[in-house]
Amino acid sequence: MSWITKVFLAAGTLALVFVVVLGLHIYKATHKADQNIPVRLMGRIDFEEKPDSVSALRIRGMVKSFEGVQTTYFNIEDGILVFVYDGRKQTGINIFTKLQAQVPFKVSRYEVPEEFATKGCPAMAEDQGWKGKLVQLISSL
Amino acid sequence: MKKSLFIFAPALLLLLGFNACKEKESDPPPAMPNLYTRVGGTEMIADPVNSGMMIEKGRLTLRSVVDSSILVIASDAQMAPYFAALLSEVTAGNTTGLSTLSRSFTNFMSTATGSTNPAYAYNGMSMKDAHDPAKSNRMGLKTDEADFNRFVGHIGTGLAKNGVTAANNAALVNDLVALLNTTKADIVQR
Repeated sequence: MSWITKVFLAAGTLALVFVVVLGLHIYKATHKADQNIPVRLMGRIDFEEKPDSVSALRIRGMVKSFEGVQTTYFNIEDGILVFVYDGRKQTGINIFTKLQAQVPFKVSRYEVPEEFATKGCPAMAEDQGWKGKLVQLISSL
Repeated sequence: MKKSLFIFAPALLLLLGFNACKEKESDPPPAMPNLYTRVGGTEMIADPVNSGMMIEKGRLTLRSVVDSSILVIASDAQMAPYFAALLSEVTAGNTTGLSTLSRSFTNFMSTATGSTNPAYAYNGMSMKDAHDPAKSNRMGLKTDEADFNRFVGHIGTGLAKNGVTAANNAALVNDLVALLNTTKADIVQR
């Protein structure tokens, strides 16, 4: 094999590697599934006395204004407030304590019964099939 | 010549008209795009939640509906036995439950509505196995029809929170509900 052939072969291999890496990078940038955001947490506060719709709206606004709180939802019928917050900026206990101090309602922080803690919708478990593991592996590259 | 024109012209027009109608009748009806396309499809847009990331428009719509629905479900005391773990992770220190549910359910919805993007594929257990306590250790109890219907209702509320209602898009709501109902026989096990 002449030296020119070797040079072309090496350059071709290098170019191929670059193309593959570029292709993978583009694929990753455009097709990667939305990120799992482990800092998104959910909390629930129960109201013993159900507030009216105006008060519920005011309470939602109040909780939403707390640092790190992203979304809120008030089930007025059952007197249940749920909220999603950024665990890096806020804690569930802090949100509860702040709300408790500012509203004229008796409230309690929902604690999950032990029998429910490890059970629940199977969608909360990670994908268990080999395809799921493969996709996760590729996505994590 | 003029007379024959008068005779044949209407006949020709009738024939043309008939053929035009015939052509219209034989035209196949336009194919209805799949549900994934109808909720936004594969157009890539900036992900409003994940800075610097792109996401398919259809995927974003489904994820928004799922996330809204999760809030409604989590605030329903009757659904607590199925979804309480969403809230338990706050105290248990496991912070991935909410995101995992959001991603897994959105993957399921993406696949079921017709997404072909492998990054959005649902690769979990079959609906039947996933909801069978004997095969899925996360299922504490079997689901009954009332709770399933309640769940579908909460998805409807999630849709409404994202601006899609039976009043403004009955076809889409009906088709999504019909899609969810295709899983009913597998999920309802008591």
